[in-house]
Amino acid sequence: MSGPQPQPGPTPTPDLRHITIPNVPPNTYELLSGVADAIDTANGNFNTHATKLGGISSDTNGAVNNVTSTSQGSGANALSDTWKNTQTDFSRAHDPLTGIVASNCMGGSPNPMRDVVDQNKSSIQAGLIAMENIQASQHSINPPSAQQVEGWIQDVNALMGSLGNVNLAMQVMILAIRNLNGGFGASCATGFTPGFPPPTFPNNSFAMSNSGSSGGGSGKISMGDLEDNLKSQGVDPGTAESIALNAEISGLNLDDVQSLIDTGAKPSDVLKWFEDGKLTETSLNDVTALIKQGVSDDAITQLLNNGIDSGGEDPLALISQVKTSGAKISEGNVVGITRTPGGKIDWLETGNPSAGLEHIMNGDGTPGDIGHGQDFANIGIEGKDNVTKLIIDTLQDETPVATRGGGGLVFNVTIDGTVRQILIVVGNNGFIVTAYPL
Amino acid sequence: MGNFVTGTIVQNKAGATYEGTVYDRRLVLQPPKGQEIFIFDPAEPISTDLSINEMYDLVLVPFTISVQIVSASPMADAPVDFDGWQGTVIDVHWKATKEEYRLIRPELYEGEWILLHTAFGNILLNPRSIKEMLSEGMIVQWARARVDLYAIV
Repeated sequence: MSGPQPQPGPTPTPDLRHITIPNVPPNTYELLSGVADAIDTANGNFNTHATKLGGISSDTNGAVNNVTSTSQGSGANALSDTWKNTQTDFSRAHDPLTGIVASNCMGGSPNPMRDVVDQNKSSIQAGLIAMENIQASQHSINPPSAQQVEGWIQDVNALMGSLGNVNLAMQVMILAIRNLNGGFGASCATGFTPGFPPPTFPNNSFAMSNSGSSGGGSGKISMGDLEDNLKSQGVDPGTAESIALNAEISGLNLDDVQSLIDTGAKPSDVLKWFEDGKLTETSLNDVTALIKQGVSDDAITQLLNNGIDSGGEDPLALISQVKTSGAKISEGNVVGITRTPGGKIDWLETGNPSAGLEHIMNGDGTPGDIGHGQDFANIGIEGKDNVTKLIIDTLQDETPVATRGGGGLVFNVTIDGTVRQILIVVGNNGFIVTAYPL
Repeated sequence: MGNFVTGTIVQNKAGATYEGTVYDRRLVLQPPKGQEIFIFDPAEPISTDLSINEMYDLVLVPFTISVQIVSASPMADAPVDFDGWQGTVIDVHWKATKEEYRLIRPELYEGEWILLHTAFGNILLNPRSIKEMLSEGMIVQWARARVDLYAIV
């Protein structure tokens, strides 16, 4: 026989005074998110500077090749040899910058830090709340239940586990940064050593005999002159210095940069164009020409940012030619421009419900006029960017197989191996009014 | 003559327009039975003078690349829940003859067309849009697509 069994008593509430609260700030999640933001910013800067380094290397390579292909002598030879070493240095600087933004280091979207913070967000936030509850209960006259306390302890433990995960991600990035430092620590192939005098070359090693035509460089103002000129024109010293420095680094003709400012471009806009990498040897004089033609800085900014489809030709130069002809063009709204095989310049603007890209894609949006976006999609051309490219490429490369009244041109185009017909209507001045497949 | 699509024009408005020139038009046709048909009148439009609330007999050509044969026999039952167009092939070598139309696109005289009978009347298919060989009596379908105006009877 068995007698009455003892009933289990209530679970004792853990002694709150003996619970150790980890030393974690209450805004931990915000702090970690801020770190993830900072990593994104750093990755952006790494990318930007890697691109700039690549551009400088490429431009310099072109300049050196130009000199060495038109000149002979020990100077040209010395330049060629030195440049080879400098290219090695460029690679040593460029490769770590691109390597660190790989997704297994600090890069990717989301970056590893943001990824781990996002994945552990709920446990971090729950743990922080649990910490607050424990602290509050330690000074409260109403003790919490044992179940509540157990829950809080579990949440705090989960918080610590999540912070461990965050720590692991940070360790990987710390290693990547150490490797980056190691990459930059390699010796300079050109011969420059930080903190030491520049390398010496034998006397007359750069003496040269020019086998090509002379020219270039003469009459150029210096970087200091440009900076001083801008300051004397009332440009604030910081902006003047930055413009001069950017112009010099970009290898632009400083006289041309001075002309751009003299033409009326706002120095603050010019600096922005430099910082965005939009002012190049190719675009500088076109921008100056457009400003001379009365195009506003805002329109220029739009133009430079549009990524205009121009089939390889300089879009700013084409726009400038259209303006010179007197045709009505909304330069800031141009999304594509090209020269046809017959030499005519045709362009596509963002437009409106009646004409241009908006009309082509969406019509006026009523049930009876939904545009031709779906018609193009039916033949395999989806989205406004691809439609723009098809129209511009077709006008640039193809000859019409037929015409329709009112400027309609019929082209045969091959899409995914199938020949299709599209009709493009171009106004007398070159404005692309509409387009659709037939 | 082909007993084409008949109905009342309930809307006739300019489509692509630039610097005062209308390059194409959009029409809405209400057939005696069924829903409205949205019609595109392409470059060099021929519908400019069509009046609202007047009945017209229109030669229409759908822009479609996805015509499917659903039956090789006119007696077979076709799906009834299809939300596109359906027609029976009545002539695979149809040609436009002159002096039969008030207004016509010159392209209609270029080559042969496929004449179909649909619930709205007869329409034409461009042979370029058909991958399969069609023959008279076949039933074909295609998804809702742009419908182009080629002639006014």
